[in-house]
Amino acid sequence: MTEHTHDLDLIAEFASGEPSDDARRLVEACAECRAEFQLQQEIRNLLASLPAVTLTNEESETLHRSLSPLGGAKVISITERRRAQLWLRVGSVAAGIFVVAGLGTVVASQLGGGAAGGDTAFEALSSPTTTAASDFTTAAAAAELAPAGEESDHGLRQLAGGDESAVRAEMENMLNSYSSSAGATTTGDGAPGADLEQRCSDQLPAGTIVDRAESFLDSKPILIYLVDDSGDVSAVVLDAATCSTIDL
Amino acid sequence: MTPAIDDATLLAQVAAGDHSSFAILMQRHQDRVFSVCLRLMGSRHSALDATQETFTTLFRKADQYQGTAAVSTWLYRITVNTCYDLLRKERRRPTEAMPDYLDPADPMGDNPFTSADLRPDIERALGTLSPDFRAVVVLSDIEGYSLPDVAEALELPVGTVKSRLFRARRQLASVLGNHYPDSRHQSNIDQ
Repeated sequence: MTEHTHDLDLIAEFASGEPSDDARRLVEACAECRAEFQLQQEIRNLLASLPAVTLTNEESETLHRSLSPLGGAKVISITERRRAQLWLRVGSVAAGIFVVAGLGTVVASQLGGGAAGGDTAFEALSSPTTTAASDFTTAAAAAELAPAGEESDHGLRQLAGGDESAVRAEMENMLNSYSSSAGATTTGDGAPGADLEQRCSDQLPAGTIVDRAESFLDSKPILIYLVDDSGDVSAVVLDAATCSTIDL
Repeated sequence: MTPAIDDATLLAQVAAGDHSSFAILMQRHQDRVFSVCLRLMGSRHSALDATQETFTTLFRKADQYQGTAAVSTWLYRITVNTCYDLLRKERRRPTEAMPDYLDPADPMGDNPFTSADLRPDIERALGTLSPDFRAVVVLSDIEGYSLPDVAEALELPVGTVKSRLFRARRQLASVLGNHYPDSRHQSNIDQ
């Protein structure tokens, strides 16, 4: 009795769903080959039954946030994202910050969102126009708007800070300084603030950063941004380490 | 209704500097890329890193896409290579911990090969495969790619893909505790 020389190549071919006539004949004629084929099919079916895997919303956010430097903060829907997430507090008592910049009323805005992703994966990709973890420009522009004070390591105006009331007072000063400065400095090339490097920019509301400073809230370093959105100026406080919004 | 822009056009726009196209492309493929990364890397954290790295590479190399394969195939080539690189850096196979993405167990079926309770073992068994074998199994049997597409993505001959697939399934069956035809079979599968 001739023993089959089982051609596993043919069985593999059959098991992969593309059987030649030779493979088909082999499997039909050889019981052990059929068993091998059936085992292959069972494992294949088992693998196919594994549940689909998707990113969670938080993971997706982290992914997009970490990759936003590639696309440029202005283009990768930073404005759209912030508008979708922007919560307006009109006449907020908690923030206690309001100013009239020509026409509008400031609203204190709070942005939701998870923890900011790190930039470490993309430091090598950072260009001067993209956000890096600790890269600020136009200190001169900031100084032009700023009252006297020391510059931080990042070239920003360094405020004293303190508790919540102290930080609110500093924010009010910033807003008042902004509103009392030339009115035509909100947008446009060359305008102070227009080309400021946007640290933690994806946590900011839509608009133009017109002032920023570093400060401390209960000994924790924070960033204070003024953002002018077509005359509506808001002040935003961010944790300097995580870029998460701090709701005063 | 405006039809969706095809991947090749989006990629060309990315290469030309249109960054919004990059976001669209990423949104379109991120789940599939993440799925492959997760099966190869074995943990969500590593898979997320690999996914980030994959899209970074896509962004950097958008101008190198030549159109001979589908964008998705090209992307999955980048995905697998990225995972290989990261696994080499990690210098380990993700076999130790059970993957943290399993669904809750469904009621058992009679066939142990179809029982949902077997899924944790399947995931664990996948981790015992070499990255080369795991890649073919993931792309073919889990992600459902055709063998030619798997071959294209992995830059291998189709025959090699079939061979690796066959051997990988055998190894999985062995790990899962099932016997298969005995060893008097003459093996002439290419090594």
